Amino acid sequence: MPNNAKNHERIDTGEQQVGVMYARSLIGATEAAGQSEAILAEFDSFIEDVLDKLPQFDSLLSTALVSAEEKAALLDRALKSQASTLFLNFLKVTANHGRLNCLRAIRRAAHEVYDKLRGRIPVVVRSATPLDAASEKQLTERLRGMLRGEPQLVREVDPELIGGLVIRVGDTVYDGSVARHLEQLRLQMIDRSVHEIQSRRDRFSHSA
Amino acid sequence: MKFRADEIASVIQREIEQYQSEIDVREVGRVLEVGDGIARIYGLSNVMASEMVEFPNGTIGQAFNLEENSVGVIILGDYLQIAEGDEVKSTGRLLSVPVGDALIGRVVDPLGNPMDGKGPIVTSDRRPVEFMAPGIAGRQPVKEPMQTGIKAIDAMTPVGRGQRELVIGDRKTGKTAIGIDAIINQKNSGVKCFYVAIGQKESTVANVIEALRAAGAMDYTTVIVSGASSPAPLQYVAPYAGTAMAEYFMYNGGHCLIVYDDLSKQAVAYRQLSLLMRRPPGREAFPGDVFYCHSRLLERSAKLSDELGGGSLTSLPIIETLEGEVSAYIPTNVISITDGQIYLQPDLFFAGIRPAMNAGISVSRVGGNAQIKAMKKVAGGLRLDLASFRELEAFAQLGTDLDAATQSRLDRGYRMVELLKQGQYVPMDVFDQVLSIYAGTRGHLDKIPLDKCAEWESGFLTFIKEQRPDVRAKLVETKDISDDLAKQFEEAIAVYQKQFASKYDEVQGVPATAGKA
Repeated sequence: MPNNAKNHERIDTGEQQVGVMYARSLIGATEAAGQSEAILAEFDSFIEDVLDKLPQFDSLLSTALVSAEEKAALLDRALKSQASTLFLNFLKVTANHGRLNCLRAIRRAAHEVYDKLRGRIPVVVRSATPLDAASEKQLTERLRGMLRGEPQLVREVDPELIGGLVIRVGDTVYDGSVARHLEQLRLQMIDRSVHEIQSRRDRFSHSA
Repeated sequence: MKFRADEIASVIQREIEQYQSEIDVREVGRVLEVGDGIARIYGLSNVMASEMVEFPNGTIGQAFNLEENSVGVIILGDYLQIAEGDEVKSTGRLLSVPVGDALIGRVVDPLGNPMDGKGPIVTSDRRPVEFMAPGIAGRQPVKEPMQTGIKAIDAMTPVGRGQRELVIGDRKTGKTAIGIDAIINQKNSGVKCFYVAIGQKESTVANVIEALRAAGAMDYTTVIVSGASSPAPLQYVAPYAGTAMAEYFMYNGGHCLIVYDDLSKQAVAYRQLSLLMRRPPGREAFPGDVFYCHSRLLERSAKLSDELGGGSLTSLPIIETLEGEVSAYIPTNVISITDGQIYLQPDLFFAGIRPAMNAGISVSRVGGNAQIKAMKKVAGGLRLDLASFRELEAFAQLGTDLDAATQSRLDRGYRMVELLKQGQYVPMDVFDQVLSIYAGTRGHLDKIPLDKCAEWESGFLTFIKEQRPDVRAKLVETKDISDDLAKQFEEAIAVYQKQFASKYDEVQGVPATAGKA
């Protein structure tokens, strides 16, 4: 999942909103043509193999100094031999609306829209040590029952958790790590001591 | 005393055995941008308005703006350690502060953390910072006096328990002094005091705390400090936090006094937050809900009904005006919210009339019911008399010849003004106030030279205490001036007049060393 793997990618909420609109239309078109997987793969490759590797091309597409027609013509010349017609058309439409700067947001949203359509749910699993195959399978089974969808595991290893699992689905985090249990225990002990001190002090002042 | 390690170990073991493991479920978001005390968060899709959120370094924030794609959060603490991309968790709780007896005598920040180096505040009681004001059924009319110990205020614009009396004036006109004197005067009255310092220099606050300590007032006072260097969100929540601490006592049947020093700075902090959050600016660039910001705060001051314990919370909000401009946005707002105002004027202040209260435009809308009967009798027309005296005085300055009646009115006025002057940190007992004002309004000072008035007054109060304690005792007992008692007053004053006059006949030039009242 690109959106979770690149956890610290910059998010612009305005671009995000535009991205969702374009992504929905793109997926709508690809679904109709039955080529969603292929187009998404093409999209990934375009971002990773072209834009990421040729930052000047990226800025050429993003800049407002170049007119939409010129951009469309440029895309035509550069990609005609390799890209599918549908994807090229999508790029040209985006260029015409001056939204080529939002391509990354559109890709992120497109993956989300497609996953949702297929009932796939991205789940980030953080553990102290890498999970073995058996427990991963068990976890997937449990998540499948819980989420009513196909969990897509993204594994992260964080030794600071000490043990246990932290599972993140959307904005909700289920934290069952040992580190948090210890922290909770610490807070509970402080709480109880405060109560203890208070009740002792009250006893003190009443008798006085 | 010796510690036994095994005992401690067994306690910890018991704790661990009792510990129930639960999976912690929470909402998270990610910091998009941070700065100037605010952050914008992506995610947190189910966060509620005013909910507390927690940053990775333990700093607390409050959801302030819920937008379509992001959540605006005000950061209550150090925002310099928060970075873009940090995970933010929602807590499902509203902002609350510790309350209770443990806070009395302490200096705390708006989140209830101690700032006086006297160790942790041990209390498990907490109250939400934002709390609904009691409704109509939960209140009763203000009818008990809340003596400020300042003659001019107690006589002319009396404050009752549960009242909101605004103190308004330019810088350096003695606004804070009124609040401090009122706090000092609550000694032995059982009223708990709260002083909320918002956006002030830390050195000024330190001076105030020192003054309170020197007067023995810190024994029943809590100081909530959010200085000029603390971020705007803390300055914004400080008055609500102070009120929450005071409400604890009010809802437990106690009486409290809270001084907000000052609300104009709080409004400025709120304006800063709102503009950073891109809320639309209105008049003077304040957001549209700045009125609500103050009204919901001041509505929490109340005199509770007997069913709710009859507690009260009196507030003295302070507003600083610029060049005497009371018709600016914030002053008019707060004037319309409060139950009266004490207006302090710079020219009076520099003329040596302190407290520099302008009797003409200072009012108290409910406090009259709260005056003791004796004070009502002696000070009934005082405010209007003084106001008309000011007009007459301005007229007399034209240098025209005055008839005897006007001249005598002027003389009376000068002497009343002299009598109402009062030093800082020397609040006066209400019965002493009644005695002085009685003497003044009945014209017993008319023959005394102006510069001897203060001396006459303090001598008179000492005289009553030492030579006619019966008169004072009766006044304290009945809290009223019957005709009989008035006659005794007249007798006592006649005797004292002779003593005072003789002192000056015998030892010319040597001032009497009469003790302070």
